[in-house]
Amino acid sequence: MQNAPVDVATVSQRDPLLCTECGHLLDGFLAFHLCPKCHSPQLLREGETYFDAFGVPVQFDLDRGVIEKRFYEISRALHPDRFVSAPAHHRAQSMSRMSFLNQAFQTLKNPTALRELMLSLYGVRTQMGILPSHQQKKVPIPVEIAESWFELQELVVENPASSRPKVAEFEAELKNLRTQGEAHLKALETQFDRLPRELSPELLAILSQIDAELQKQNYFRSIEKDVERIKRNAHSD
Amino acid sequence: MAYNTKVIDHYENPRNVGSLDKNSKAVGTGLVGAPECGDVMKLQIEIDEKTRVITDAKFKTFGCGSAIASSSLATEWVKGKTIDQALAIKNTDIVNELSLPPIKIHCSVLAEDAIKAAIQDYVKKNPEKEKLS
Repeated sequence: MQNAPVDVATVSQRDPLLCTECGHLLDGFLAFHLCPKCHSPQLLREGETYFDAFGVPVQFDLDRGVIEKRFYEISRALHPDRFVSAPAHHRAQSMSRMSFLNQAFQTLKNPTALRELMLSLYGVRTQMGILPSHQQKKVPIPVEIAESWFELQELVVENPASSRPKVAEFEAELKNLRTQGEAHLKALETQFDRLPRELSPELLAILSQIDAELQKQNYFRSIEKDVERIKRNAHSD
Repeated sequence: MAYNTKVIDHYENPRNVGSLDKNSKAVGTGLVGAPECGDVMKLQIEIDEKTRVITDAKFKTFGCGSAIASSSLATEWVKGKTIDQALAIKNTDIVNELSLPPIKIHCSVLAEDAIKAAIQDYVKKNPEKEKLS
């Protein structure tokens, strides 16, 4: 089962935003979390995204400096220490909002996590990590690399000493593929950012290409780890 | 985590390790990799062209115990089966037989994919035979 695609207008862009407690009209990224009038940490709103948390647009090209600055500013205002003598529900709300904010920050500042977030927002993947990988729409792994990976491991088993240059060659090839993949991802992100945020076939086509490329990158990374292991075991002289 | 005894048995005494002549027209070769972990599995089958029965199967796998056991079991199972019967083998059959835990299910998927890839390769080499159902 897939997530319902995100409402294109995120929470902060939807309606005039009112305090979840006193109904005061909220304006700005800080008030989004904490009502300036009644000082109530805002309940998490339905459909609230990590982008909402920082008042930034749903796109890949994010100003991470701005996000970091806002993160510290909001954290200062929202920190549970500030609510020790506040009503119990304020304490609870500051905590749940703080933990949402922390997750949002970790996600938006990490390019891979951001890509996974975008895929789950638009229903290309379900909630990351929750869906067992075999249920996901899987891209076939590149056959050539699987073949040379297989042959390399045969060589290492049969003739560890002479396999060293081959291992180095293979590593260089992997690194090259990863660099190419990263460049491809960057290009796809730019294309995505240029399109309107509505759920169009073009947008989905780009997202599924991002999905495929991410899976490939993931595959290369796991092989890289195995290559490291081989080097430790077979070449530990 | 303790491995199931059947997994350990296949891991310690893998059946049908080795290779067949990949250039032979009677041999289909499937090489598949797991995107999750970097495991790679090669499974080969030899097919009697008249009866369409799989007369021999070999494998070689670089991966964890469950991946090795899954492919070892797969070679055991496909031997003596027709192409269609072999195609009917599901990864869940392997999961059940080896009692694989959820985190190792992808190993059984890999084995199923390897059987299919080997058969596909055979069919590609023998286009005059009926195509995959």
